[in-house]
Amino acid sequence: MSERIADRLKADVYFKQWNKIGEELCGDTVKVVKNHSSCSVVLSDGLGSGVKANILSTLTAEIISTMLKEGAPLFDTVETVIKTLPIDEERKIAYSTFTIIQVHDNGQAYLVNYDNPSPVIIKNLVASEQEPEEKTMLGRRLLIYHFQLGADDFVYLMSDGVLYAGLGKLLNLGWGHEHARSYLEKITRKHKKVKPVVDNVMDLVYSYYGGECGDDATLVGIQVKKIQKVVIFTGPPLDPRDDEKVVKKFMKMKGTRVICGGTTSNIVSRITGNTVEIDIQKVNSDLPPVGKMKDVDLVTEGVLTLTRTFEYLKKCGGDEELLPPKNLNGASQLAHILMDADECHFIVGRRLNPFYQNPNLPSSISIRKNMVERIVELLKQMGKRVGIEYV
Amino acid sequence: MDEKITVEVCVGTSCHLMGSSVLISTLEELSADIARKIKTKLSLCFEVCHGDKNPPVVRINGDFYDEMTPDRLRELLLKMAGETS
Repeated sequence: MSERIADRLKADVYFKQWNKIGEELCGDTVKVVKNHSSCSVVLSDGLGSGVKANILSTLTAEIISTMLKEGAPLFDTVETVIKTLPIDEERKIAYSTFTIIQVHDNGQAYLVNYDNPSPVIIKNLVASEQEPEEKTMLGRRLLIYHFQLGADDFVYLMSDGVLYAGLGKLLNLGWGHEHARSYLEKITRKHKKVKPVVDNVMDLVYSYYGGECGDDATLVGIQVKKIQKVVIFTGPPLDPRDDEKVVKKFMKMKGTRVICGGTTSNIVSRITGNTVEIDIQKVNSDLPPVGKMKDVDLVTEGVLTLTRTFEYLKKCGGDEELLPPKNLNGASQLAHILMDADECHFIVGRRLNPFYQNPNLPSSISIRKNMVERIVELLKQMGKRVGIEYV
Repeated sequence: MDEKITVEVCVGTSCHLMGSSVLISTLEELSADIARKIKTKLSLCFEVCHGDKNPPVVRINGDFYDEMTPDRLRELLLKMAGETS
């Protein structure tokens, strides 16, 4: 099962918006819907600007995202929205345009574009040409794209405000789709991460507008990534006869491997024949040092490190930037690994360490199991898939 | 050159709580002529504190010493280093 999981993909989504000058609300709306097997993003651009546009685009994006969240097929969703979207009597254009992309965990992507600028699709860091299929639904022209994405491919969705940047000011006709596309390609190749690309391009849009945006502008970046999996083995199995079976299972699991606990690391060491190396330079009185072992990404002490990891995760509230630096200690390394992961699996041994029953020690250290359960609860709240098995 | 004295300090949970990091500092503060006769290693757990040994535990040339203090460790090593020279 773990091998199938290792090849699955996910989508990281980041977007940035500018409001039209003088407006307090953006007329573009972005909604992201994630479930176990896909990620959908809706970008809707309401007619006009300000409150009216905001309500129109929110309505459109909300209908689409709610239907997708409830598991409605993409094309049924599009049909419902097309049926309910009114057309402006005077200008004969829809009240709200939209783009929907659905990226499945096997990399299959479906994109429906209704009157927004064409998406920019970057595969292997090269902007790729995708010919859409044209479909007319109730008199509206839809462009439908169907393509395959792999790890570190990017898709950018935008509202027309991005392309009009500079119109009549710095650039006569705005910078246009062609230039935006090649700039996105260049910047993606440089950063290879969605957030700095979107921030950079939107800063450029802002300066093309001379700080006075003539239209609401939204850029959505989607980066496809491999699902990150981490397995944590902590505590010796209740029955020592299970040691070998559990270690073999742990070493077979794909993803980042972490061992928390001295006794646990000794068991793994004994069965695999790989020794633990500890760097003496990194010893301090705060937390025990970490070790390295072949085929294991991190080896730490057990309950003190887990307790501290829990504290770090709780304090950061799901924001990776609020974690202490990764190299500070074993707990900060583990906290970063867990934050980066999409799926975490804990193998928790139930054998008690007799020394921890010592009444002179703080009571909290006897409760490894409780600490793991508290970490699991936090990770679940952050939207990660977490499994826990007791051995 | 004489054979080095191997000192292994346990940095497992209980030994850490009972001050093993201070023992490591003690080793680092030894004078250079003693320090060059010593090879230091760390262990994530000797698993002897489960039985009759009390932390912090240090293994010197294969023998366990429990309830180790900085003073005792220094004395032991000075004595052993003196014997090997």
